[in-house]
Amino acid sequence: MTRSWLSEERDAYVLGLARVAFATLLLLLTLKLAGELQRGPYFGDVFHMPLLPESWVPSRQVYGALLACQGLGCVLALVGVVARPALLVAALCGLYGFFCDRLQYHNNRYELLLLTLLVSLSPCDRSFSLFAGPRPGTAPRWAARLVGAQLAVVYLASSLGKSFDADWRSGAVLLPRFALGVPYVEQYLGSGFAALLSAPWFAHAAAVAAISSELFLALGLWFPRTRALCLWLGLMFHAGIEVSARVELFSYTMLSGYLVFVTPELRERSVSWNARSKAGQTLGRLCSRFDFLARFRHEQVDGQASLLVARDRAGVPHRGLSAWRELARATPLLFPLWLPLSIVTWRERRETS
Amino acid sequence: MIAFFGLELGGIAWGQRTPDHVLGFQMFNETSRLTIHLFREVKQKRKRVLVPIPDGHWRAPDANGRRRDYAWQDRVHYYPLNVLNKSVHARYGLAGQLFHLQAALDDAVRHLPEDRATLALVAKVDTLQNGAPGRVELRADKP
Repeated sequence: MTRSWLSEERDAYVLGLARVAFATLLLLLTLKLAGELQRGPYFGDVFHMPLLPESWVPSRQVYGALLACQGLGCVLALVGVVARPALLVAALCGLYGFFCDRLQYHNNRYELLLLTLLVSLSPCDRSFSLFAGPRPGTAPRWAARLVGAQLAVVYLASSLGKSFDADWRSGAVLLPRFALGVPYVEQYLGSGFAALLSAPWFAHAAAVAAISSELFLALGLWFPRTRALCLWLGLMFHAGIEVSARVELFSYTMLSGYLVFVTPELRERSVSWNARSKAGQTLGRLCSRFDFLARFRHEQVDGQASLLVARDRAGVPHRGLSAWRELARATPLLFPLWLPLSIVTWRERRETS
Repeated sequence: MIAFFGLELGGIAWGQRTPDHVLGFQMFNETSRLTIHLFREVKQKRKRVLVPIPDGHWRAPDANGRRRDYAWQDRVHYYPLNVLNKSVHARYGLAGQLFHLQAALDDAVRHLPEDRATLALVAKVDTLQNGAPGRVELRADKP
């Protein structure tokens, strides 16, 4: 199994999108750090706590040069010029600066740097380049597996840390957090929901759900049968975190990492739209434009009875809500609709299978 | 790659045992708050007394008897430790922030060579760890 992981060669198109995503996120972090350096004192000149020996902490000028190098690496990776070495250098500069002060430690920043490093080792330079066309074909995929493993490590460490903590398990950590939201909930949803948020049993149930979700995300992404459900749960999980807490780029980092779990092969599904209908023409164009992951062959068919017909990987045609479900499953912007549509079309799906 | 994940997993294991869980990927590990009350320990009438520093600023004589201005925030820019007498969120847990605060006190007294009056810096910290109140006192003596 290990040998097949190491020697496996698949299409590398989607990894180009991962490169663009991570280069963008690291560039945003770099700009933030550069802004902090410009506005305030340099961390090395005031109270700081290096993880490296103190003598390794660079001077203000050298740190500024490192940030410039990091930013340049991100820009080059973003546009696809010497993309992999540029991304690797950017990640290494970032990690070096990161280890110079533990006070600046943030889980999301550490995770972003590690994932960027691993993405730079994958064949992520074959697509999404500004100055060159895509290079179709297969390439070794072991580094993409490591990106997936890195995601799993984070979910696993977080869930195990919480499950070994009695305060977390009991809900004592979540209850004061929920208390902050009680006035808003009372105002907009009523006193019944506010009472629910103040109940210790609800905080305990939420804690168990959070720990289980992280554990499920760590393991479920690896199995084809649970992958889509896991990706959907992860999307909702991170959307929830994004609106309820300030976590910098954490949600975007983790969601970008999900790209490595996308099936590498391209256009194995198809969608055809009714070319005679105005809606079919417009939706067909939009659908083609937002198919970033190249999942579908797009067709406009004259005289097609239904607005949309989607064919899955096995070539089975789906119409009506089932077609929209198939479209949502493989289109990132529509993916939040996939589970609700799957539930609504559950009976139909069972009959088809 | 074995080295990469070996180092990372080692970092996670180490992070579980450090007070601030650095490298440990412990997200939302606590809902805790702290309020730092900072004091200078000085000699008055042969007795050691604590003088509060509510905003972090104080004046003290140097070796030549000239009074000079000092500020906690001159060295400590790190949030939440730069905020005094106000309840703030203890990110990554209370133990982590108390660990950082002790290091900040040690750092601050090392950078007060001209201040001849201050003998030590003392922080009395009101804590709220996952809803449970407490009080901690930390100090750093001038070398």
